[in-house]
Amino acid sequence: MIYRLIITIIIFSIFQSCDKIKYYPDKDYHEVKTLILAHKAGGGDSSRYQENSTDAAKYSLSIVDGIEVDLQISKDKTIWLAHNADLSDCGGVSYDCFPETTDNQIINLDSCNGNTLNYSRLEEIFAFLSSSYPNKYISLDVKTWLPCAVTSSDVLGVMNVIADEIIRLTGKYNLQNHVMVESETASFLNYLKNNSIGIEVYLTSFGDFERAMQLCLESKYSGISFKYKFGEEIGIENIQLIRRKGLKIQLWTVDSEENINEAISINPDFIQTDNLKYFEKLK
Amino acid sequence: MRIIIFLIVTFQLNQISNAQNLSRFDYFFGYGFYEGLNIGSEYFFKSYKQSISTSIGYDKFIDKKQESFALTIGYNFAIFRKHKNDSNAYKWHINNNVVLWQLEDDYYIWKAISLIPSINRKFILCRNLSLSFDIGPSFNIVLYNKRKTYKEVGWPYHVMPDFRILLIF
Repeated sequence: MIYRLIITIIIFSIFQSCDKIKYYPDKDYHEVKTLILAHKAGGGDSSRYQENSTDAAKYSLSIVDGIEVDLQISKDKTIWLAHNADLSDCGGVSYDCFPETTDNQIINLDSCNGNTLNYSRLEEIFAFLSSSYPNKYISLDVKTWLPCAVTSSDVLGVMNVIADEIIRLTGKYNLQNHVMVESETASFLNYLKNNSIGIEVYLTSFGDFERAMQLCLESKYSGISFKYKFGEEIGIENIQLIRRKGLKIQLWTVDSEENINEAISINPDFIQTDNLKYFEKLK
Repeated sequence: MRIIIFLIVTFQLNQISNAQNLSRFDYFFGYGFYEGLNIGSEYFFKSYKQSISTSIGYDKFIDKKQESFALTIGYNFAIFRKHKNDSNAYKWHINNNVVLWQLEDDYYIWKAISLIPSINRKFILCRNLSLSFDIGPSFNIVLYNKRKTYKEVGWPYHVMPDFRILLIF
């Protein structure tokens, strides 16, 4: 009986040394300069350039610290820049969506559309960034991808192919530590994190800062890509807290002058904006 | 939450007052990692082979920085049957507890639910007194959280071992 009691006390003591809440340790804290990224490569809306295009990227990189672009993958496993997976019809030809369309078909569609709609490859942007602005940044937004046909229903498999291509291009153009990837899909971010060096991964969050921060710490992501002024307000305390924990934060999309100044005042790592005109004036 | 605790306490006090006539009820108190310092009762049925239990708990004794309340509901059944119609004949049990707990510390307020399947061993100390040990994994799901300060970042462990020691009378 005494033996059992001693065992019990030992087990009891071990359990009591545990905590119910897991707290994450502090890392080295350092102030940063907020960097500005041109959302959708700085095109679309009131810009004279098409969104997610090489022309827009070239112009934006001459103004701000980097760009953000949206990615789609073709049937030939080439990464193209586009916000949506759907492709338009042209010249009486019906196009399905990026994963069901070959590179040649996308080029034909591009030609058919004339100057109204041009599709750019990610590799073109990487080549330009590497040769002209190797110290600037690019953030790649990979949407949670929905299969547009049964032949491409392996969602995670397709997303991992995108990850492999990002890793290949980053290595080919020596852009390590200048490429960031943002996504809502944790398994995709985990794959990218575990198979790459020098690529930062950001969990996209639509307002739940607390949960996003905890998930990033648990999964060892680089930081949060946070939708600004949506759901949850974010202040300087939030920014200082995540920086103390070793995380970074991108805020998107911050467009009005008032919001830009307010966002810069809380000192996030990156701000994504469509308002390039504001930064043109500052330049 | 207060109403539920009030009803459970009332129910248990009522049972304690009638305890002399209800041999199928046991009462217990003890300590559990998630259950805290807890008091409750257990109702046996099916020839003492199965039981349901309920308890309420509080904890600020082990860690002064944390204060927690817990409400536990359990369904338990005996294994390794020995003799019929004798509640003390069953030494080993499988317990399935659901613990609703609230914890407050310097940084957060948490409300969570824990699902704890555990193995139980009962030691008979004397005729009306037993010692009971439970051990099993606790699967924790956060229901609500509120940040109090911006000093720390944390989250309840998704899975933790749970240990409970009870004195049953």
